[in-house]
Amino acid sequence: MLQTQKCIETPHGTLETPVFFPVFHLNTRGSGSCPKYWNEIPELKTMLVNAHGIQKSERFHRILKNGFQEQFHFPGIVFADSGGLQNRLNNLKLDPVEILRVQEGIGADIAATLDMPVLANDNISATTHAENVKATVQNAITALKYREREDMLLYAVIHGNDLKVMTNMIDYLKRKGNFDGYAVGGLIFKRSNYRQLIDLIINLRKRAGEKPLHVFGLGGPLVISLLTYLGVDSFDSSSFLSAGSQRVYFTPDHGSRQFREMPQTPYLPCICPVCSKNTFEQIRSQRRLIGMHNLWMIAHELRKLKVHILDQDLEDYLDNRFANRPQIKIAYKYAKAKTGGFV
Amino acid sequence: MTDYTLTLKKKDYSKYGLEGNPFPFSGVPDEHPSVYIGQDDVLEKINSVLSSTVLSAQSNHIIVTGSYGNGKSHTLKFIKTHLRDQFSERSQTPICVGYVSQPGENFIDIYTKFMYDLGYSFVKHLSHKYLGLVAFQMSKDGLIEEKVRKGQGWKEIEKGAVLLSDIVPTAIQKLNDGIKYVDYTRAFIALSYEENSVYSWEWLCGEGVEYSKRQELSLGKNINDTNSIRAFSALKYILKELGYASLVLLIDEFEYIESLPPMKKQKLLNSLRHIIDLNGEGLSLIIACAPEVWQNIVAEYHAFSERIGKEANLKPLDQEKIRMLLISYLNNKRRKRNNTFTPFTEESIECIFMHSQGNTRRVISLCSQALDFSVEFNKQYIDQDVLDSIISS
Repeated sequence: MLQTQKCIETPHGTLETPVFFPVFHLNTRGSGSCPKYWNEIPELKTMLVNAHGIQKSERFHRILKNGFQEQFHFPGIVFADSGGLQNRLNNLKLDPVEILRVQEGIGADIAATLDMPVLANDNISATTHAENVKATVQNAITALKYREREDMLLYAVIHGNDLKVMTNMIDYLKRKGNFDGYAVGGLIFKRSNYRQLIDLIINLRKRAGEKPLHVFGLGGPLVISLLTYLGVDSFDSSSFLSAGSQRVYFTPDHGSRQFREMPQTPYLPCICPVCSKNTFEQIRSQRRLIGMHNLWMIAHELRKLKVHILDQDLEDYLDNRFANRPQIKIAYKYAKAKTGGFV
Repeated sequence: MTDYTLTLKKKDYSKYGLEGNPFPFSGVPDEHPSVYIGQDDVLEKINSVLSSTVLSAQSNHIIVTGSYGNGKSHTLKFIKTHLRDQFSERSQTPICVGYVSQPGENFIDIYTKFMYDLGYSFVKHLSHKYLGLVAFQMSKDGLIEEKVRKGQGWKEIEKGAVLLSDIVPTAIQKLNDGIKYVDYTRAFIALSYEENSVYSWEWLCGEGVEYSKRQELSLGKNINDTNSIRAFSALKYILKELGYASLVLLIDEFEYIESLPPMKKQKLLNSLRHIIDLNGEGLSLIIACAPEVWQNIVAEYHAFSERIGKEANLKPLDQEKIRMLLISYLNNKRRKRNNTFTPFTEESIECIFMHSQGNTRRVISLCSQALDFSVEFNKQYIDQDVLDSIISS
C-alpha cells in the first residue's frame, strides 16, 4: 500500500486526503453546471473549475473582482485547472502566464499549470507528441517562475501517454523547480488497461515523493478506492453528473447501475438525504437528484477510505469492497502484487 | 497395473576426483562452450578473418566445413561465447555477434533468428544508447541547455536531467537520415518507451504485427523477406553509429539449404550475396556447412561462394588431440586441475580413437558413457574392458 494520509494547507482551509473535487463547469453566461452540493454535503467543500472557461464567461470580471468563492457563495477550496484540453482541441494558443493570472485572480487555492494534453491516438513517434510534452513542461516551468501568489499551490501537469515519457517528465520537472504537487492527465484513456494505469500511478507516486498527486478525470467510487490504495491524493470528475444524465446510479456497495436495470421498488437501496426524501421515480426522472446522490456515494466512499486508512486496515476493507466486482478485483490483485514487489 | 516408482539416484564421481560427469551425455554442444581442443588451425583462420574485419574495417567472411559430429556447432558457439565475453561494449573494439541455428527458407528467417539471439534486452539497450548518443551530441551543439557527458546520455535521461521529448524528434530524424527506413527508425526508437516496446520488438524481429498495432506505432508494412535485408543493414548502421567495430553473423547448419527447391535456394543465396555487397565494411559472416554441400555451392553458385573468402575444415581428432580433449573436459569437473587423463587409461584412449574414428561427438559420447558405467560398476579405472562393454551394449 502506498497511501499515506496527508493534510494539505490551502488559503481556504486544510484538505485531508483522499479528496475529491467535483467538476464545476461554467457556461458562457457564467452559470454553473451542477447543483450546489457544498450546501448539502459537508464532506465536499471542494470544487474543480476551468480557468479558461471562467475567462471566457460573461461573469469573468465580476469573479476577478469578488473572488470565485464569494461570487458563487462557495465556502470551500477551489482547484483551478488551466483549460489545456480546450487549448489543444481548438488550437487556442493560450498563454501560460495569462492563465496563471486568471487562476491567481479568481482566488484559486490550487492551480494546475497549462498543459498541452497528449491524446489517446497521438502517435508517440510523431513530432507533435514530443512538442506537446515539451510545451507542457515549459509552461509548468514558466508558471513557477512568474507566479505572484505564493499561497496558491501550483501543481505541475504530467502527460505523455507512456510510462517512460511521464516518469522522465516528472523527474525533469522536479529538477527544474519546487512544485507544490503534480497532476496527472490523460489517464481516462487507460481506464480499461488496468495494468498500464497501475504501473503508471505506482511509478509517478514514487517519483512525486511526499508531494500531493492528483489524477484528472477519474472519479467513480471504485476507481477512487483503487487509486487511493496506490497513493493518489486527490481526484476530480464530472462523472457523477454525466452519470445522472445517462440515468446511472452509483450503488452504495457495488459499482453503478442503469435505472432501467433496477427493479422499481418504492425505495432505492440507499439512505443518503436524496434517496431518503425522494421516491424512486422522482430520482430517476431528475438528473440533478441522481447527480447529488452520486456525490453522496463518492463522499461516503471517501469517508470510509479515511477511516480505514486511519485504522490501518485499508487492504482488508478493499478486499471486501472489490470481492464481487471481478474486473476491479483483478486490477486490485495486480496492484497489491505490484506494490508488494511480487511482479 | 504394475506399480512403478521413479527413484532418483545421484551418481558419485568423487572416487575419480570429479564433482560430476564433465562430458555432455549426448554430445550436444554446450550453449556456452569453455573447451576447444584440437582445431587450432580453424581457430587461427577465423581469428584472421575477424581481425581484418575489426582492424581494417573490411568485411571478411569464412565457411567452416566438417563432417557431422566434428564440431561445427561447437566451433560457432565457442566463437559466439568468446566474442561476447572478450569484445563486450566495455572493450575498446566492441563486436556484436549473433548466432543463427539454421538458415531456414528465406533471409527473413535468418534475420529473425539473429534478432532473437541478440535478444530484446540487448536491442532495447541499443535504443537507449542511441538516444543517449543523440542527447550528448545535442548538448555539445548547444541544442539543449543541459550538459551531457559522453556515454552518459541515457543515464541523464533516466535521471530526468534531460527531457526525453527534447531528444526523440532529433533522434528520429538523424537515424532516418542514416538508414532511410522510417518504419525501422520508429520501431527502434519506440523500444525505449514502455507502452509499445514489446510490439516494436516483435516488429523489429520480423514477426508480423497486426494492422491496428502497427497503426498505433505508425508503422507501414511488416518486415518481409524483401525488406529484411534493409532491416539487417539498418541494424548494422546503428551498431556502427554506437561504436561497434563489427557485426558477426554466425550461421549454423547451412547444409539445410540443400533441402530447398532450386528457386528458393537461389533466392536465399542471392539475399546473402546482397548482404555481403551492401556491407563492405564491418561485417563477418561465419557459416558452418557440411563439406559435400559446400562443394555443390562452390560448383553451382559462384556469385555467392566467391564472396566467401576463406574456408576452414574441421578434421577428425588424432589420439594426441583426444588426450588433450579428455584432460580439458576432466579439468572442468576436477577439484584440482592436472594434466592427466585419469581415470581413463592409455589403452582406453586407443579404443576410443579406433571406435570413434576421431569424430568429436562420438568421442565425447563414449567418454560420458564410460565414466557412468565405471561409477555404476565401481571400476578403478576406465580401461578397454569398460569400453568393450559399452560398445557391445
